[in-house]
Amino acid sequence: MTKKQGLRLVVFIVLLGIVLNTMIGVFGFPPNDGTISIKKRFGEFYSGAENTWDCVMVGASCVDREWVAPLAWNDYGMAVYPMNTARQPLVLTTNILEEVREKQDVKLAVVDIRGIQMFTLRPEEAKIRNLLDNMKNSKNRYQAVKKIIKFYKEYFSREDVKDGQEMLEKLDEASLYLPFIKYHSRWKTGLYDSDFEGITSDMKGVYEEQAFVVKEVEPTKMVDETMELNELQKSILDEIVNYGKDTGLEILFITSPTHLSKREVIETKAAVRYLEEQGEKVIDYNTEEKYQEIGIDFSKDLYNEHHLNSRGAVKFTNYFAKYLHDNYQFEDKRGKDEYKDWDDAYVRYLEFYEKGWKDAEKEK
Amino acid sequence: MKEQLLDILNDLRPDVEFEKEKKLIDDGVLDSFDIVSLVSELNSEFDVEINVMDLEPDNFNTVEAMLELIVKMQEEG
Amino acid sequence: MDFISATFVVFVILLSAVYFITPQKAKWCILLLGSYIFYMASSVKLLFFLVLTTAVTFVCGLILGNINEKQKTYLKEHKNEMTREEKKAFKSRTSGKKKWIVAAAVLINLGLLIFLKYFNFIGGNINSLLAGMGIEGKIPHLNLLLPLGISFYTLQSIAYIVDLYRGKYQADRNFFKFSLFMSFFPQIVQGPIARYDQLAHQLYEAHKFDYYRVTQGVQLILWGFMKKLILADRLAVAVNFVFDNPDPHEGFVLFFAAAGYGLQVYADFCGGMDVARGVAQILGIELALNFERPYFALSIEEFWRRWHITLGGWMRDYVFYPLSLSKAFATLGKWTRKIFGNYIGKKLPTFLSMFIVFLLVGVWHGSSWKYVAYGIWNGTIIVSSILLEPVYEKVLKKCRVNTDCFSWRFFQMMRTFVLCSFGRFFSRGISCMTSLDMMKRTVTNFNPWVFFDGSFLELGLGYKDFYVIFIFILVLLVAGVMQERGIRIREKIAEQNLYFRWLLYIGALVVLLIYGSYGPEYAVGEFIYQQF
Repeated sequence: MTKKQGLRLVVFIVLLGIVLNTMIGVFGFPPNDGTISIKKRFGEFYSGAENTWDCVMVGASCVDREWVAPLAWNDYGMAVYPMNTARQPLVLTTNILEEVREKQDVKLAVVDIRGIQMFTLRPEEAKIRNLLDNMKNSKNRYQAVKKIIKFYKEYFSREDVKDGQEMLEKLDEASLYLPFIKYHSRWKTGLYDSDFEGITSDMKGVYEEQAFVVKEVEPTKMVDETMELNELQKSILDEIVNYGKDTGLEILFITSPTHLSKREVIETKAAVRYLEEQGEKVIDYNTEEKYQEIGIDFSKDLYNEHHLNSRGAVKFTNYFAKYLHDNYQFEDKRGKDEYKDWDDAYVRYLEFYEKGWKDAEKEK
Repeated sequence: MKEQLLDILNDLRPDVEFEKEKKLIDDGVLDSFDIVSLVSELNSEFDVEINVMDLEPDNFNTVEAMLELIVKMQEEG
Repeated sequence: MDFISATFVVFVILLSAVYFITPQKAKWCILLLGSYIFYMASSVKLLFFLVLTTAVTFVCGLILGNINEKQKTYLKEHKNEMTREEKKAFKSRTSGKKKWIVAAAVLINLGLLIFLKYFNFIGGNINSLLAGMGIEGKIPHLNLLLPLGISFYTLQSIAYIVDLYRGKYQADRNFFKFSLFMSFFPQIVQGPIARYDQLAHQLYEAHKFDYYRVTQGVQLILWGFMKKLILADRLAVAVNFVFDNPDPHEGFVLFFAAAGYGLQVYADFCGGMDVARGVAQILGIELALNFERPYFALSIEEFWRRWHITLGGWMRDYVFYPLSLSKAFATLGKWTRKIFGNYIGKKLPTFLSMFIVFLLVGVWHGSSWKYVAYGIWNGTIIVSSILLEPVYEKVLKKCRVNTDCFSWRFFQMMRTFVLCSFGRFFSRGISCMTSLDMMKRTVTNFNPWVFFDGSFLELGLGYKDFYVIFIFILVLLVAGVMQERGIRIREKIAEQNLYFRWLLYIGALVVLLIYGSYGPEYAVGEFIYQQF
């Protein structure tokens, strides 16, 4: 090989790398109904200013359904961002926190632990991908994939999981490491402008899709029955607790207020009790008392059995923001230049909220 | 002898102009069927024993090559 | 290690790099090492069989070589003393000795293949035959694993032994070099079946890095990957769908599946060959061509000359010619000529040996009756077409058909395609009976409406998949026509501007990665939030 040929080869490989990288980026996690808000949230996380958040909230779908970040900002000047994904696997909590801390020096992490129920822990592909496929490639992502594959095998090898064997056969490891292996087939289902241009949230991760739907839901019934978490569940909670200890990140565990079935009540309460026994800070918002304090009206504030609508979200945000303000000394950053987008998000949210309910009224 | 050979060849494949072809085997003009019939004809006609190891393309690509082969065979016996 | 995989690509890159920086004299050792690593990546245990065959072939080859040498020197020394008759007698004496060696080598190597590949098939059939006669057959079903590439390297070893018997070349005297010839990784899995005199010296010679040659090889590999991933694996979805459960399908859908399977095998096998040849080319080694656009064939006979050429060539040189020219067949010919007259009588022995060849080719593909049927199907078509040729010619003349025009050749091509596709029912069908049933239901159900009622979209492929299949076949067709006209496409590409070449490389890779059929497929609605 001559020098010229070598140089040419290098240029070619660089060019090829750029093209392939772009292609892999475009054929990524699809921005469809139910997933677009996740994509927006991660888009804003990766493209936004560094070290501007005070606190991050993680967990499953309930988190963005209950938390309106622009409101808390407007009231207290606190930057608390929801980094949840639909059905976020609790077992990956430390990885998502790690990802956040790469960019944001948060002082507090609020972790919703309703994902601890055995049924919810079930590591289905969609749950995993909602989170992993929105994460950029990094050592952390690689470790998260390794961890979830291990967990997947562990979970579906359990005797109390009926279709375990069938699910084990379904696991495609390669496409978890490199999602393009799966998403290249999106040429069949279609691509969108946002696949090419990227997409970001402009209301600080506020949930939009069904925010103005109302469904009358039975209030959660409390039960006296109790149970003990199994080893798997305990180990997941332990890992999060230890992560907080090792990194010095303060962690506040909560159960998001929503309607819970009998089984869910028993299982989440068991988790609450377990964490309390470890001396962790836990707030269970699924008690008669808390429902009343927050002011949740099960006939108006939910859009389905499991999620608050925007009316419920505003109530919880008001309540919880005050709690955070009273207990954690986040600096009031209102009026600072680098936080202008938070002000904008507030203005947009007000408009969004008013218009949303007006339209919902009209449709009635 | 050449006349004799050409007679056999034309009998075998009337559609081929044998004296013009230079790559009868390599270009697939003669297929393996033709070769087998040709060899058995040659063996009986010229009283030689062309056998499997002589079935190299080089020996059958042209009329001249075939003649050469036959002569060689007759000499060796 | 799969050919069509990222691991293999990485393996080839690493191996080539090591090969080119290794000193001239040791380069072949790298190839040997690489080949054995490649083999062991699939199975360490079964390597035993490859080594055994290599050793047996090497030793027998050595003995044959020594006999050849001695014979040569003896004849040279006594050139003038011996009469023609004496020479002849001497030769036949040595060839008698050589025959024993050949028999031993072939028996061991072929025996291994037959035992590992066909023991259960033969045993099972004997058992059921005995059961038919009321006797309980006791031949057990063995759990046999087939060593990677055994069907290919066994043929290669037999060719080497027989060629030495025929005195075609000298025996290899370096066991390790010979091991490389028997195990060269690009061709061990699925050929091309190499001849010693064509491949071995290329493997032993040292090849320097050649920029142009490497780019040509990379192009070929890329092209092979495209055939396999874009066409073969995509067609396989629909083909498997139909063949795995053929009962609900009729008529044209069945035909589509059979024809589709033919194309799938073509794209799969030919693509694999392109990869093999491309990899070898990067290393400076030219492998034999195995496919020459078979779908352009005008007859089944021509089809098989263009399809799996090295297997056909092997069968021709080591089965067809020896059989046809054997004394037994000559006697048979005299006898058949007496009975059937000159025209047919002369041809019958040749037909018989050809029939045997097709049976062998059929059975070589796998141990099942359907492959026997597959062989019979192809053999019958070819024999009958030759026998009926005078009749065809008369009919064509009577009907004043012009046979010297494109449309007639196109008709012949289509006819060959249809006949070939029907044959595929045997090679893909679950069993011989299912295949026959599918054939029957293909011809007895005329259902042209399936082209319009969306039946084809229910076979696991969407309409966009069919677009891709269609476009890629078109590309293959255009490339095929160009090659038929003697245009060497890769050389033509090399003549273009740098920008165009780069665009082509990158474009092809992007197309391959996006439109290739691999990985778990994304379905709309997969992530739609359901229950929590």
